[in-house]
Amino acid sequence: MKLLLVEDAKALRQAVATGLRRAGYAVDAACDGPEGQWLAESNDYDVIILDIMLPGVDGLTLLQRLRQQGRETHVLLLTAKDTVEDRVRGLQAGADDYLVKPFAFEELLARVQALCRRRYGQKSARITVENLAIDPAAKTVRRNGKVIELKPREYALLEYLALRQGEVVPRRDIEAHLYDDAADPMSNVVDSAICVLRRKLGPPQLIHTRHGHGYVLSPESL
Amino acid sequence: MKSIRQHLTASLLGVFALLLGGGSVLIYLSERVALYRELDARLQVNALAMAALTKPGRNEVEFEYPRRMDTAGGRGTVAEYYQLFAADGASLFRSPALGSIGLPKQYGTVEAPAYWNLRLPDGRPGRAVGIRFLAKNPAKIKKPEATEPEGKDKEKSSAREAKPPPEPVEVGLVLADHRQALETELNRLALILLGSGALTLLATLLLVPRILSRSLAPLNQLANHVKQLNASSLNNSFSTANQPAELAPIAARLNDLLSRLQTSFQRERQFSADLAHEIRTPIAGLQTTAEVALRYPDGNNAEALQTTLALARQMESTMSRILALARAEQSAVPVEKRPVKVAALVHEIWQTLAPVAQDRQIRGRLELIEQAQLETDPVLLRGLLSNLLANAVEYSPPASQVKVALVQNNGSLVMTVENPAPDLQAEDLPHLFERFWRKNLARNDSEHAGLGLALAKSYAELLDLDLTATLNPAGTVRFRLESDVTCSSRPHAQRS
Repeated sequence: MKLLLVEDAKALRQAVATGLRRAGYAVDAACDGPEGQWLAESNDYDVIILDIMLPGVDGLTLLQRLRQQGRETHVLLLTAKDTVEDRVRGLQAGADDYLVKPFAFEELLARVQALCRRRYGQKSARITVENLAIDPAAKTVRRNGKVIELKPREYALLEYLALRQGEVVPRRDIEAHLYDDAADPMSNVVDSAICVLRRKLGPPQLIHTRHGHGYVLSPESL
Repeated sequence: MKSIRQHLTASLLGVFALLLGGGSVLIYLSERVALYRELDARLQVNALAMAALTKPGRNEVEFEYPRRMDTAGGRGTVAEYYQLFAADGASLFRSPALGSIGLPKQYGTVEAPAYWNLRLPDGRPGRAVGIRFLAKNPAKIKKPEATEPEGKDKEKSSAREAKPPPEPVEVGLVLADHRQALETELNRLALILLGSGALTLLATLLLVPRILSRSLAPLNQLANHVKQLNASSLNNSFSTANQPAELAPIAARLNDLLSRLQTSFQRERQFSADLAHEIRTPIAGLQTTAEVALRYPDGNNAEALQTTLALARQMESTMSRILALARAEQSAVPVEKRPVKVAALVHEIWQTLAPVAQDRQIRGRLELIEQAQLETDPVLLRGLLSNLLANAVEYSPPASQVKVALVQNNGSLVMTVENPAPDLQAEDLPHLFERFWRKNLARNDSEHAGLGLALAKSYAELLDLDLTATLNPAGTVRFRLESDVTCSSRPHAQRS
């Protein structure tokens, strides 16, 4: 999943970005309103984590602009403003969630995951594809009840494909959603990652290649 | 607990009772004196009339009074009790009503008779008059004059004899009459006075408390209003419209104090809110840094710890400034004035800012009068100048110039700090010295947390210096610090 973090406090921004990356997300970080707006308009993120008090353009204005542009990206407001009025105002401006500083990182993680699930219309926490069970909270994968060990990037890839199970996911999308600016995505990366994932999941194959289009995760080949 | 109302009531009633009592007594006494005077006058008239009818005769004295009174037929009061005495004290004549009892022998003169109260033989209270005079022949009618006295016990008038006029005789006359009427009159008066006095007192007892209640009602209202005040309802101001003259200044002053209290409370609340807000983000940074480091222990711990340290320092700095600001605003800082060489201080502060200035490539241009001295508190002035100069160095665009000038201007010292401020607009000027105000609302990273200028302003006020900011058309902001007087002690101004 790919996230945009817009937060001007340097220490907080870096800590959150690090934590989220370690949790398997691709994270783009912006330190002010204009940069945040530019990134949001240029890329497709699964969730935007937005501070309200930003230099340049404040978070709420930025949010309203994005909504006016028709962007439906889920937005989580992260802010020190904690009164009921502030929360109401934030939610009415188009935010999907609101978290007050200081917060527990775990909670931020859980809320981001919930928003990601919502992105793909996934209500329940667990994702199942035939005999494959993925628990996003615990970041565990079981096939036929047996736990499969995956590295974070591999897990992220599997989760992404699973969320869009049955859909043909272009390589472009995978690149966009799994790799942030920090990484230097080359086409190879996705392919080799798919290869590793297939091997770890074992037979029968769940990830199928649609040449020229992308990959799809589904029980049977079409 | 003393009560004004009770005190007033008691005092008023007491005074009133006293006055009433005193007045009544005065009235009674003066009436008594008048009545007695009247009675005495009558007695005197009677006595003189009797004296006129006393002549010296064959038997010492001829006393024509009884006969004359009989024939007169009750014109005027007939004295019932009288007694005539010879010079040696022997009784010459005695009124029948006296019987065998004699009247006391007390005499005054004809002009100033002796009067006294006595009990008459019939038991009634009476008053007597006594005079000593010379019984004379009627040839000299004006006054009874002395002729040869010869007295007799019987009241028969002696016949005139063709003898040579007898010598005037010295005689004593005591005349007494009842004073019942007088006594009755006085008693009546006393009763009236007592009765009306009592009634008046009673009425007062009933009315005074009521009147007092009514008059003191505004005071009660004020007291009740004050009772209802508490920290959360300082809005209730006191109406000054219908206040009596004595309470109006109190109400006005209370209003004034209340509004100041309210401002102060508001400021405090605002302050707490601001503080909480300012601290939240650094704390969030600390928390997340620590949580992430703990969650992924194989990460870069050294970096996490560095960040933690930096944040802690930032928060400490913010706290110190906020505290300093609070103290300065509450005038809790003692001001000790001494002569201070301002230029030297500026140089010193500039030195400490050198690293930051170098980092941002800020050039400083200092044009200072080296000898200028200011009578002021060196610690507070250092605080003021530090904040002012640090503000310039931090917010001036990189590679720009900060100009500091110190001049003497008509006996006052003027310092200016000027630097480019491309972001500032005219409408920002009033906000410059506000707490937590920053041009870019969100800069949480700076150590000053938007307090530097607020602190400078508070210090300036404590030191009686004037600190203002102007925006030049060239796009520079110019801070001007001015003192009123150099090198003389000024009284420490009272902060309200």
